[in-house]
Parts: sequence; C-alpha cells; structure tokens
Amino acid sequence: MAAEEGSAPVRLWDAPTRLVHWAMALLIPYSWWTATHDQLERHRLSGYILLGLLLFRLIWGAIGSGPSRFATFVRGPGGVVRYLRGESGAAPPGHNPLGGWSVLAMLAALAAQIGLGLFAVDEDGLESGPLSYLIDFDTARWLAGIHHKLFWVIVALVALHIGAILFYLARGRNLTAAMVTGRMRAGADTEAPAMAPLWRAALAATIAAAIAWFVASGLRF
Amino acid sequence: MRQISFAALLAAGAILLAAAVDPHVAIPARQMGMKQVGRTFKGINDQLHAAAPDAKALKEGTEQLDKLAKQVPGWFPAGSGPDSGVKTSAKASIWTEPADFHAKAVALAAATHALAEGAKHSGDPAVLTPLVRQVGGACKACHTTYKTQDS
Ligand code: HEC
Repeated sequence: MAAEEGSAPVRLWDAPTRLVHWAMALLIPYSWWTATHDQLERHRLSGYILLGLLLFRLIWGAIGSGPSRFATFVRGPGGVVRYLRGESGAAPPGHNPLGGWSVLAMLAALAAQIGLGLFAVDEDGLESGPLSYLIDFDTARWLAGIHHKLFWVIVALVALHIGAILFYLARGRNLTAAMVTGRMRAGADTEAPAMAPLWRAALAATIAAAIAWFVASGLRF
Repeated sequence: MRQISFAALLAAGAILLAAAVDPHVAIPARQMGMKQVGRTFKGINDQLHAAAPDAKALKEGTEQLDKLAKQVPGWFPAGSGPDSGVKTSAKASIWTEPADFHAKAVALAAATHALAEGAKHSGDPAVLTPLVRQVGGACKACHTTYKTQDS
C-alpha cells in the first residue's frame, strides 16, 4: 500500500465517481443549511438530487469501473481483521477493507436520511416530503424527528472519513488529490484498474434520474 | 357595593379556576389537541395533493380544523406553563404576553374560518391551497414565538 518514490500514477477514480463524490460533499452541507434556514423548497430539491446521486452510485457500484465496485472494496469481517493485523498482503489500489465499510456506512446513512425525508412532515403543515401522504401525521412527525437526529450520525461518519484522510495526509498520501485528479501513485507492478466506458455511466445516470424523478413526484406520473 | 362584591366574586372565581388547573391534565390535553390539529391539517393537505381531491372530505376536514382552532385559546390556562414541572414545549411568554399570544390564536381561527368557507364552495386546490398556506403561516407564526424548538 505504501507509495514508493518514482512509482507511476494509475487511473483509480473515474469521472462519474469523482463527480458524485464532490456533489455529495457540497449538497449534504447545503441540505443542512437550507433546513436550518427555512428554505425547505431548496432542501427538497437538494434531497432529490442527492437521491439521484445515491442511486447512481449504487448502480455504479455494480457496473462501474473496477475500484468503484462494491465487489472490489467490500470485504467481510475476516478481511477487515486481517487488514488491521497487517496480514492482507498486496492489495489493489483504492479503498482498503476498513475504508470500504466507511463508504458503505456513509451511503447507508445517506440512503436512510433521504428515505426519512421523503416521508417527513413539519409541525405547521407547510412543508412535507413527497411520500408523506402515504402515512399518518404521527408517524410522519416521528420520522421527521429521526431525520433531525440522523443528520448528526452523518456528521460523525463524515468526521471519521475526514479524520482518515488527514491520517494518511500526515503519512504523505494525499487521498483528496486522488479524488480530484482520479489518479493515484501505485507500485510499478500494479495492474491498472479496469475503467468502465462512458455509455455505461450515461445509462446508469438515466435510470437513477428517472427513479429519483418518480419518487420526487410522489410515485405518480 | 354590588359592583365591588361582583368584582370580588370574579376574582375569587379566577383564583379558584387557576387552582383548579392541574398541569398534569391541562398540558397533555393541550398536546393531544394540538396533535389533533396537526392530523386534521395533514388530512387537508393530503387531499389537496391527491390526484382527485375529495371535495366532501375537504369540506369536513376544514370545518373540523376550524372547530379545533376556536378551542386553542382555552388550551392555555394559567398554571400550565413550563414552571408547572410537567414537560411542555409551551414558553412562559405565552402568559407574560397574553395579548400577542391571543392575537396569534385569533389569526389562526380567522385563517381556518376562511379555509372552511372556501371549502364550502370549492374543492379546487388552486382556490384552497393559498388559504391552506395562510393557515400554515398562522401555525408557524405562533410556534416560532411561543413554542420551544426541540426536535
Ligand atoms: C396561538 C399559538 C399556536 C397556534 C396558532 C398553533 N399552535 Fe401548535 N402549538 C402551540 C404551542 C405553545 C405548542 C406546545 C404545546 C405544549 O408542548 O404544551 C404547540 C404544539 C403543537 C404540536 C405538538 C403537539 C405535541 O406535543 O405532540 C403540533 C403538532 C401543533 N402544535 C400543530 C399545530 C398546527 C398544525 C397549527 C396550525 C393549524 C398550530 N399548531 C397552531 C401553539 C400554537
């Protein structure tokens, strides 16, 4: 895993993965800001875009470029323990077994947060998620309460994520730059990861956008 | 003389009434009432967002909401504030600024009345939605000032 001097940069994060990552990094704080500043129209829009991004990321985790696939970076508990003991040996570039779970945890928390928001209503009856008509007031208020609290779980997960990035930065590995350029230095004998063609990203984006649109419209055309 | 005794009677009655307020009863009753307001209002909102709003349900729901709104001032007897020791989101300022609080309750009743009147004649979301926003604004105006924002 260590970055050898003189090692060659390989393409690691494809453009769709990077785009989704930075869009989420902007829209999650924006969602918080709009929610706390009485701009629920924009808050909902931000949530719908995040829903589309999340759906895209899930599809991309199945059909995307090698390093972006869940099958590449999600390891069972045994794999994580071996990694922590330093027994995993040579690993492909990308998320390590612990980082893979960090990514999954963030995506799961975001999915839950979006799901809750879709059903939530405010106390004043002025603002509501597009699916709130499917449930009663008391349930929708309960979900809204969880929606508020879950935000801090997301904050905690993001703090861990940023903490890990700083940890590596202190050891001379700039993961942020890799998420910007898509490239990462790797050992000279490292095989270049397989990159997915653009048409596949277009297909995934179309499916994700269509589902997000349908959900945002309250499951009605 | 008569007037004085009448005033005394009134004062005694007010004291008795205040003493009769059990916050363990009054506060949960108020919260149940407000919840019912919320449920009723959501029912109206859901109808307006439905593919085919039910005019009869809208008429009944808005009448129900108007009835509840008229009860709101009675849900805040003296002695049912945060000092009572019972968990409540009602702020003490309700009882120190009664005129303004009452004005906000009146504003709600005016808005729910207009909505109920509107729903008598029309089930059209284009007509009723602005009236619903007025009601929601009245809820919000009071909550922002007189309710603590916990969750
Ligand atoms: C005149 C002020 C006022 C108006 C108008 C008002 N509320 Fe309230 N509402 C309060 C206060 C104060 C509380 C806190 C009560 C408590 O905790 O004891 C409250 C609490 C609530 C609650 C929480 C009840 C609970 O404890 O579960 C709901 C829901 C609610 N209001 C809905 C509404 C809706 C919907 C409207 C408009 C249709 C509305 N309110 C209008 C003052 C108001």
